[in-house]
Amino acid sequence: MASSTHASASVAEPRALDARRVGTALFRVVRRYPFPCLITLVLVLIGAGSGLADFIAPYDPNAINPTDRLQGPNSTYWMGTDALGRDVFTRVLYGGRASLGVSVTSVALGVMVATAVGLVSGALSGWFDVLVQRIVDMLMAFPGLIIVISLTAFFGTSVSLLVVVIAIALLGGGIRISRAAAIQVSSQPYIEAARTIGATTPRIIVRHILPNALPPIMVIATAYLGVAILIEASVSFLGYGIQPPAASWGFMLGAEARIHMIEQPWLSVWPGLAIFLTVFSFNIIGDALRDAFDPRLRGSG
Amino acid sequence: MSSSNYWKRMRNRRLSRRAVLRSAATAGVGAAGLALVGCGDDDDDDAAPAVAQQQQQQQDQPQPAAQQEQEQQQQQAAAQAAQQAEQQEQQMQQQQQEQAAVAQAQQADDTPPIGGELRISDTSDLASFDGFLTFGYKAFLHGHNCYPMLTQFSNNPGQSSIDFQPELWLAESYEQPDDVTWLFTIKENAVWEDRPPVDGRAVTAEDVAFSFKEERYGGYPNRGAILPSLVGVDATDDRTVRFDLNGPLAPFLLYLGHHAGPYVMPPELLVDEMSRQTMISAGPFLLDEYEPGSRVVYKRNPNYFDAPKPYADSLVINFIGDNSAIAAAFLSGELNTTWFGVAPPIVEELENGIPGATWEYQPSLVIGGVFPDLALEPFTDPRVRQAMSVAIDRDSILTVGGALEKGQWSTALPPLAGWWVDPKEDDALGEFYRYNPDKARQLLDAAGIDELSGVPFHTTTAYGPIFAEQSQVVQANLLQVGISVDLVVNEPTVHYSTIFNGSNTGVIGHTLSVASIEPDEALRNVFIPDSPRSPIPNGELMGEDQEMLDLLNAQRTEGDVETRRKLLYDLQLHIANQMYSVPWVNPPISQVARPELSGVQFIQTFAPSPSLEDMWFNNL
Repeated sequence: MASSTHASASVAEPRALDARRVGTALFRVVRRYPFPCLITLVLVLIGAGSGLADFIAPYDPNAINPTDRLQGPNSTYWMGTDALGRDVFTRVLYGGRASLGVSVTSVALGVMVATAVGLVSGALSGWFDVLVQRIVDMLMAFPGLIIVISLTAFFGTSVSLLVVVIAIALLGGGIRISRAAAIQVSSQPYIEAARTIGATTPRIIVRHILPNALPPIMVIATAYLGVAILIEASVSFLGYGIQPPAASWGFMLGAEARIHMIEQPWLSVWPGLAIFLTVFSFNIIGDALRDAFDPRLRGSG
Repeated sequence: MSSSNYWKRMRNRRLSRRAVLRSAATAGVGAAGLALVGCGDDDDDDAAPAVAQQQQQQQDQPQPAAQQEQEQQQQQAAAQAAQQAEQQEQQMQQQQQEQAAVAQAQQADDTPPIGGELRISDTSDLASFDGFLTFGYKAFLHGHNCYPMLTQFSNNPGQSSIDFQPELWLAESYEQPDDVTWLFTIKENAVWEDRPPVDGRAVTAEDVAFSFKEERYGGYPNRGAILPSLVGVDATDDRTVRFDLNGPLAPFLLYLGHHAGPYVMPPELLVDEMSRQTMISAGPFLLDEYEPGSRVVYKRNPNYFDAPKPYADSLVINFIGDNSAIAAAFLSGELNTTWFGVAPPIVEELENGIPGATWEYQPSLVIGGVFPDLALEPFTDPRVRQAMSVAIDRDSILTVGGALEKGQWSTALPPLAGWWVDPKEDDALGEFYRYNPDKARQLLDAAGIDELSGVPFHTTTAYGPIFAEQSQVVQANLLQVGISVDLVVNEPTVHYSTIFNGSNTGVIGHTLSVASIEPDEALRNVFIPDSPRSPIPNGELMGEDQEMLDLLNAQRTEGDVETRRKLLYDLQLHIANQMYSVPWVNPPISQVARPELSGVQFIQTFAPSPSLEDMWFNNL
């Protein structure tokens, strides 16, 4: 009995210590990076608002109510209503779900593929590397937005297709960065050591190169989140992205807002502000991550 | 156009009308009635001659008392019709003389100065310059500036824009030797512009004959109003062209000036498909510059046969899709006048923003609607189509367009004065169009439809972004009764080559059809199964509707106004019951002009050249 009590106490003590350590570490991070932390909080709020839109949003995002159309911000409709009488606040929340969903998914897909191809290309070198890099050259010769518009115009518009084409648009840069990281890591003595003891190339890539190449990939992934949101917004703005009546920030900023831009400017202000805050947040966080992963850049701005 | 030309034209018109009246009086009820009401073109049958033949047979045979009584009634109707026609003729002459006097006085006092750049806008680029290939209003908007027609719609001061009074344009005079023959003499001073391949040669009767033959037999999916009546068109000399019809066609002059053409184009232009890339002008303006997606620039044609028109030195048609951008351009003076794609709320803003601006609303004569593929299940069932109709809240659509007070609901007809019946005021017709989601559900239940999903619903930005917004109202309305449609917003060029002409199957299309000036034309455009201008995909179902086809033919050949009105009412009711298309609303078209612009006449037909050539700047 006594021994069991002792055992319980010995287990509980390290947990308390861990929580304290985490709290201390967080405090240090907040002290060192106050602005990125604030921005992260904003991003979390935006994400939570969009993710919990079903519970937070006061109205159905697609429910039209022409009698209440084009109302300015008021106590009933906090951000006003659009031309069909839909609540703009509700649509901003749901629009965030679409915009963030598409961008996070496409970046995840794009970065995963780019990392895999880039690491293999960098680790193998030779003809495979040359071939991959020429393909990347071709990809990077086209602006991402043009690639997305061309592919959606050709294959049609759907959310899943949009995710794939945005991922394709992000592939070029992702492959370049992961390849560069792979080449840098490959020249390290521990990789040579692994080869010497007979480790296979796939094992070297997965066990040694990938973990050490991850920091720059994480940084680029964070920055790409902002880029993906902008691409999604631009494509939807032009009418090739999320299709009505579904809300997305870009679409809300597009045809819906443009028609009434002079008389009802709030129609473009709210989704525009949401895009700005989200992209700005991802950029700041990406910057902070880069600082954190690269000690030489700490405190350099 | 000088006043002497004007009076010469008037004299010619009077003489010819007398000839028409003489023919009408001798031809009896049918032809006289046709002359009076200007009813339908004769497409593919010989119903009008059949009517005359039937009357002749009745005269020749011994007649029982009932037949004699019927004949007496017909004769009385004929006499009344002829009398009405004569009265109308006199009124028209009087009105035209007054207008001419006003115009003459104005011209004597104040000849419009020549100069300035007239800037207007359209919502998007045009698909092709070829007047044969395209038949959307964008083709008219540009083609009409360069390619003349024998007649046009009068634009005289004081005339209502939707009077559709024909007047001579390229033609100098005409004769009608009999009911089915027309001879036109074209103006001697009409020349093509001085560049290859025409090098400034005269416009000839052969050009006119070629254009009509090319339209008629060239296999283009195009004009409907006049061509089916043509059995021959030939140049009898350099300046005279002869038209032979397959039957009397009272609105011949009207259809000849129809915004949908045919335009007179030089045959040389068809070599190497040159007509798609450029236009060679004999009209008021010369094509000067085309910037795809941006604008088309025209300059004044100094050799225009109706000189000193046009009064503007140049004409710029900018492509601006956004209402706000149009409004901003108009407010800043970048646009002088604008009419299409400008929603009523913007018009009010423009009116408030520019004191002295002139503006006008007119009902739209286009047929808008939701057009399901008639071979696509379950839209083969009229109950499903009826359910769609009563599921749509038309007043909400008008509200979204900012036109609840001024807009109207369509039936099978657009709001053509005198023929269209307002469903809001007619109970029998109204039950097919009044918003009633409960009834929609009942109809769907009766058709065995619980829920429908995934049906593509194609709309477009071709008519401005508000149109696509209104499509969302339709989408939401349909969803409310269990019909879930996937909205697809098409670019204008895609729209015009698919949904606009009903060639995209397996979908529901949301579009506007071409503007019509006559009920016969409006109905035939949409509801004749093989109409190249019908937005209804797989319209074979309509070909099996003998009752509708009989009514369509009957109204086209019916001379008595009231009888025809009744037939057209029956048609509207019958088509509402079948609901081959789900009619939509008719937001009014508005036109606004800045105060520095004079001579502005409303552009209803989407072929604005007669209006544009009359406009002049009062601040030069």
